[in-house]
Amino acid sequence: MSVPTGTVWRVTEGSQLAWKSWDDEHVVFDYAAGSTHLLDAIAGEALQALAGSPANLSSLVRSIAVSIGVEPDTALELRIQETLDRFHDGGLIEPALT
Amino acid sequence: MTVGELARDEFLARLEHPGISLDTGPFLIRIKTAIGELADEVRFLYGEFPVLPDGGITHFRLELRRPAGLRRWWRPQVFSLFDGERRFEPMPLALAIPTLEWSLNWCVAANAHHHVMVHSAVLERDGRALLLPGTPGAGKSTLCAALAHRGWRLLSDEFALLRPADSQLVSWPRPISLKGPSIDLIRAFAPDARLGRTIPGTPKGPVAHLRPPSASVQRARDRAEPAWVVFPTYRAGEPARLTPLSRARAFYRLAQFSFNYELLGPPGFETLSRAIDGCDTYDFTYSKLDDALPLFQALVAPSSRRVAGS
Repeated sequence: MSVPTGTVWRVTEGSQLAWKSWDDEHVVFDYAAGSTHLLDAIAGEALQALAGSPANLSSLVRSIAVSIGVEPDTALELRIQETLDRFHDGGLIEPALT
Repeated sequence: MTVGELARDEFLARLEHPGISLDTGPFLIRIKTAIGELADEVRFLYGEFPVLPDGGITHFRLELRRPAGLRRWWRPQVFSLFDGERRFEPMPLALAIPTLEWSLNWCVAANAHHHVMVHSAVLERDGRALLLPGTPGAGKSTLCAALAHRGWRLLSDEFALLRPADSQLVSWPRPISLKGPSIDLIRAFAPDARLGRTIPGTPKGPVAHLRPPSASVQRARDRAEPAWVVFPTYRAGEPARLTPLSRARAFYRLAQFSFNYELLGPPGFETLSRAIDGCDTYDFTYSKLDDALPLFQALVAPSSRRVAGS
C-alpha cells in the first residue's frame, strides 16, 4: 500500500518491540501483535529512528544518510519509501496524529 | 523394566487395561488399546522405553479404539482419545500406528508450552546439537535417520524442545517416520536400522517407522547445547552443499517453524535468540546421503566453527 508523501510516521501505538541484531541484520518481535520481522541494515536504522521519535520520509532519508555516511539521493529515498510501506503493511508503524 | 523386557502377554494385557505407561524422557505417556495389530507395533517401536508402574501420574493419556457397531467390519477404522475425548477424525484401521504417532505429536504441540517447540529434527555429537528444521519433502527425516546411524545421538525427528531457562535442547527420541522412497533408502544405507512394516495409503504416502536407537533412548534425559541450525532441501541430482546463512535469517525461518514461539511472547523470543547466538547456521542441499554425511561430520571438527559475520 502506498502512503502519502509527507506523512509523519511513528511506531504503532501499543506495540511492544523486542530486538535482536546479528551483524547488520535485525529481527524484531512485536509481542503485542505476535509478529516477527526480518530487517536489513537500512530498515533497522529506519525503525530505530522511528522508535526514537516520529518522522516523515525526507527527515528519515536525511538522518539515515548521515548514519550510513552517504549523500541523500533518489535511490535512498525510494528504498526508505519501500521500507516504510512494508512497515506499514506489517503493522509496525502508523501515521502520527497531528 | 523396558517394554521389550516385559513378556508379550503381560504387555498386551496392560496395554488393554489400564494402559501402558512409558517414560519417554520429558513426557510420561500412557497408551491404551485393545487393538491387537497395534499392540505388537507399539511393542516393537517402543521396545527400549522404560515402563512405569500402573496408576502413576502421566502427562498425556491416549487411547486408540475401533468404532462400535457395523463400522467394526465395514472398512474398519481407528480413532484416538486424548484424556477420554475424541479430538481427531477416525482413520482406516491399517493406519493405527501412524495415528498413534500423529496423536502423540499433537498432544505435545498443543500442550507442552513450557518448552519453545520447533518443527525440527535434532541430533547431538559431543553435547552439541544439530537442528534440521524442514518442510515435508525437504529430506529432514531421511537425513536424521542416516545421521542417527552414523554416530549422532537422536534427540527427536519432529520436535526441537528448547528450555526457556537456558535454550538447551531436551531429548524426546521417538520413532522416526520415513516416507516413500526414504524407506528403502534407509534400509540400504543402514542395514542395522530397525524399521517397522511399510504402511501404504497414508495421507503422506507409504510410511514406515524407524525404531529409535537404543543409545538415544537410554540417554533421553541428556540435554544438548544448540550448535548448528541447518535447513535441508532434497534436490534430485544436486551435489551436497552447505551454504552459510545469516543468523538473523536463520532466526526468522526458525520462528516460522515454531509451534508456539509467538504464543510464548518475550520468553519465546529470548529462547530462540539465545539458541541462534550459539549456532552456526546454514542452508543445505543434497541428493545423496553418501555425499551429505561427510559434510555433517566435518561440522563437528573444532576448526569448522564460523566466526560471527562470516
